[in-house]
Amino acid sequence: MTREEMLADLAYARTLAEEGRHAPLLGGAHLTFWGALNAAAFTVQWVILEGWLPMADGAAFAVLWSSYGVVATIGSFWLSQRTRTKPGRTAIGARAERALWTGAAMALLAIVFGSLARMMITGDTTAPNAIFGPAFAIYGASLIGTASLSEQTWLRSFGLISIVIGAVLCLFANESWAYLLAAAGSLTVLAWPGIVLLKREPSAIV
Amino acid sequence: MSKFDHTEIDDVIHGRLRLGIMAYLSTVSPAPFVELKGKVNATDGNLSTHLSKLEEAEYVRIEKTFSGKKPLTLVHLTKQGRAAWIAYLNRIQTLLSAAE
Repeated sequence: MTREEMLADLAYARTLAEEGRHAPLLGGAHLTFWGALNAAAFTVQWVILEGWLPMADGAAFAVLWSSYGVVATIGSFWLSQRTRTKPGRTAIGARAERALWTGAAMALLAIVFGSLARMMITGDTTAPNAIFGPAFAIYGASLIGTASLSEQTWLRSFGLISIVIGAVLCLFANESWAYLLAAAGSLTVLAWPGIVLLKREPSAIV
Repeated sequence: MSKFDHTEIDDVIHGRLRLGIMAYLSTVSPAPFVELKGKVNATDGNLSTHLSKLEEAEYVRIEKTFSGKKPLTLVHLTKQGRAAWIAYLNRIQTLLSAAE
C-alpha cells in the first residue's frame, strides 16, 4: 500500500464520518406540531381572556387545556413512532437533539404542574400566566444546544429569538395580548425551524 | 528506505469497506444494517461478511430486533471498536507523518 492509496482511503473514511456527523436532524415534525398546537391554544386563550367566547371563563379554560392535553399526548405518541425508522436516528446530532428536548419537556412539565398546583392551592388564577415565559426560555436553551451539538448553526438565531420572547412574556405575563405574542412566537421559533428541518429529513429506511 | 510500514496498521479495520463501516459507526451508532449498506455502497452478503470480521474482533456488536412488525438489524460500535478506531487513526497519522 502506498501513501497515496492510504490518503485516498482516509478521505473516503472522512467522508463517511462527516455524513454521520452532519446527518439531518429528525425533530422537525415535533417542532412543527408543537409550534402549531401551542399557537392555536395561545390564540384561543387570548380569545377567552378577551371575553369573545360564549362560555364561562373557567369552563372555557378547562375545555381548551384538556383538549390541548389530549391532542398533545396523541400527537407526541404518533410522532415518536414516525421517527423510529428514519436513517441517522442515532447520529450524534439527532441524539443530542432528543436528549435536549426530553430534558426540556421535563422542565416544562415541572413548570406546568407547579403553576397549576399553585392556582388550585392558593386560588391565584393568574398562576398559569407564569408558564409561557419560562417555556420560551427553555425552548431557546434547547434550540441553542441543538444548534451547537448538531452543527446546525442556523438554529441558534431561533433560540436567541425564543429567549427574548421569553423575557418579554415574563415581563408582561398578566396581559392578555401576551398570549397573542406567545402564539406568534410559537410559530416563529418552533413551527418555522420545524418546517425547515422537515424539508431536509431523509425518507424511511425500513 | 521509506519509513512507511503498512504492516503496523490494524488489518481488521483496514479493508476499504471495513474502514467505511468503522468511520460511519464512529458518528452513527447503532446504525441499521440497511442504512449502513447504503452508506458504504455494499451488497447484503458483502456487508455481512465484513461485519462478521469486525464482530469476531469485538469491534462491533450486531443486534437483531423489531421495529413494529418488521425485523431490524442494528450494528453497534463497541467500546473496543471505538478504542481500536482511535488507535488506528493515531497509527495512520504517525505513519503518514514519518513518511513525509
